Amino acid sequence: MQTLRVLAVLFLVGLGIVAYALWGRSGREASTASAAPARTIPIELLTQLQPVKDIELEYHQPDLPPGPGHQLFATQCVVCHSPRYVLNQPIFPRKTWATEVHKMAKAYGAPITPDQEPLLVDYLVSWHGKEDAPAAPTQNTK
Amino acid sequence: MTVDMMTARRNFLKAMGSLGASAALTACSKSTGLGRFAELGFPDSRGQGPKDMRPWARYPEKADLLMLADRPPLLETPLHYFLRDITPNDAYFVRWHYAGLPTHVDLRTFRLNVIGAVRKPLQLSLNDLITKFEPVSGVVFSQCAGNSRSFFRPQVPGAEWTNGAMGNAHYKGVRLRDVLNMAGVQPSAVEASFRGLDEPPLQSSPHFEKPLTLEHVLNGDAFIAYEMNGDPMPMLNGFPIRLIVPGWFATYWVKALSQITLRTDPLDNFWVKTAYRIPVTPGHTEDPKHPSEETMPLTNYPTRAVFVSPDGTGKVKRGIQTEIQGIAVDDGSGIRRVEVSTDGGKSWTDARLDAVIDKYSWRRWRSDWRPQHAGKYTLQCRATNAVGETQPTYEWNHGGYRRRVIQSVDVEVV
Repeated sequence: MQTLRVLAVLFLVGLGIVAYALWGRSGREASTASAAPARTIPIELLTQLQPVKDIELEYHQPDLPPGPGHQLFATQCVVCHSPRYVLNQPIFPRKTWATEVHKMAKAYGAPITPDQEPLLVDYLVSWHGKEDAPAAPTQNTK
Repeated sequence: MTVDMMTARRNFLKAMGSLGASAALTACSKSTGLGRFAELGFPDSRGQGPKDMRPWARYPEKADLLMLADRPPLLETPLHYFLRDITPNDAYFVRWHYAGLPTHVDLRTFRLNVIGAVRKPLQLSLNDLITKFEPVSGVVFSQCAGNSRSFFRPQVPGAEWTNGAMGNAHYKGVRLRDVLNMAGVQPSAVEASFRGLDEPPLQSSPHFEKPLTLEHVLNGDAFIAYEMNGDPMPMLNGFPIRLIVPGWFATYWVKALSQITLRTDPLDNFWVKTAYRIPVTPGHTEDPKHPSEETMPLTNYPTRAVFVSPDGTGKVKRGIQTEIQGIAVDDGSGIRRVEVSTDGGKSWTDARLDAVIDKYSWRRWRSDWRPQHAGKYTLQCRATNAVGETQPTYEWNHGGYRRRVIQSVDVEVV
């Protein structure tokens, strides 16, 4: 009887330790920033010991709002860059967006034909722009 | 600092939420509810912008950084890292032009090619660079040409950085001229141009490539780094080797450097002729209504002081001494003086300069401040370098480049 009671107490204490350890693993450690830093390989041994560096990029692209030009933007613009390149800009007037779209086609070789440019500009103005102010100063964005 | 590959794989971009200060609120499709936002906001000190609401992101081998864009990544270093003299590799800012940036490098096959007008073209492995040349090292400051672009008024298109597209790191590598001398530059060469492993997304897009004059590469301080702060470079900062051009903007610091071409005619691509250019006017400034017709490639860093603390987001208690702190940079001539104003530029006092770290490093400055009354104070800082270059109160250029205007930070004293 006495032995059983001692065993039961020991069992419960053991269970507690295991539970505490598991809780620590799952909860607190997971919330720390990163695992212990790996031992750094000296640069002169890198080619021999760890010749390949490989990273995987996971992108977090914002959704595109619906509307005229949406499909065109999703193919001809997003092929090269995230829509976040629009969202991270100030709310530019139509004139600035027109310059940007033209620059993408002319300087960066984006697959945008001249007749597609106005549709893309309309889309950008409705999504993340504004109409030109009547007497606004010219904004040069060459 | 450097995380190994396994960890890097796990360190995928996490946590972010797009959120918009504006109508632009097109929510991030994946993690809207989990967004973590900058607590270190850097509102425009002139009250022209909302508090910093940009999302954080964690990319491979990197810490949580401010994400301006995800593909290709534009990641800004939060200001508090600049309280340290050396910017850690995982916190160092990231900027790529094209989504075709390198994500896989095998050192057994990676070669730095030296071609063009040379007597003996070279194909150098990382080990060749480490073993066949005399190593050099130093602490060097770097900065994106568009750092602080978001403070230009009127606003200009481009990566809307605040002040975190910069950093100070210790690099080790080999002199560029030693490599070129091994190849033997032919007398007909006028320029060396530099390419990395990054590829344009379309055949029609111009390959990123930047030139330096022969005079610069043979007589300047440029070097090819294989170590950053004692570790191999993070992939996103240019693994395995990166060109370091001390005192010049980071657009010349070609990442994952893979090809050096000695040219008999100057390079004439988009990146030279159209991008990264500033007006040819005194101070390189122009009128937004009448932009300058004539432009030139930007090159060296202007003299400039930047606040690190206070950053304008917290409150300061009156009657208590507060340390104002920041960094100052120039093109290597040497920072000689930093002045601080706590009354919006009406009066100035000299800040204390910390010891020089290295020729091309930033230099830290400090100033004590004990505000007596509650209210709003406008702090300003102004640097002067060894050749007398100091800072203007207003300048503007259409690219939002090379900002050097005196910085103002509004601080609330309670």
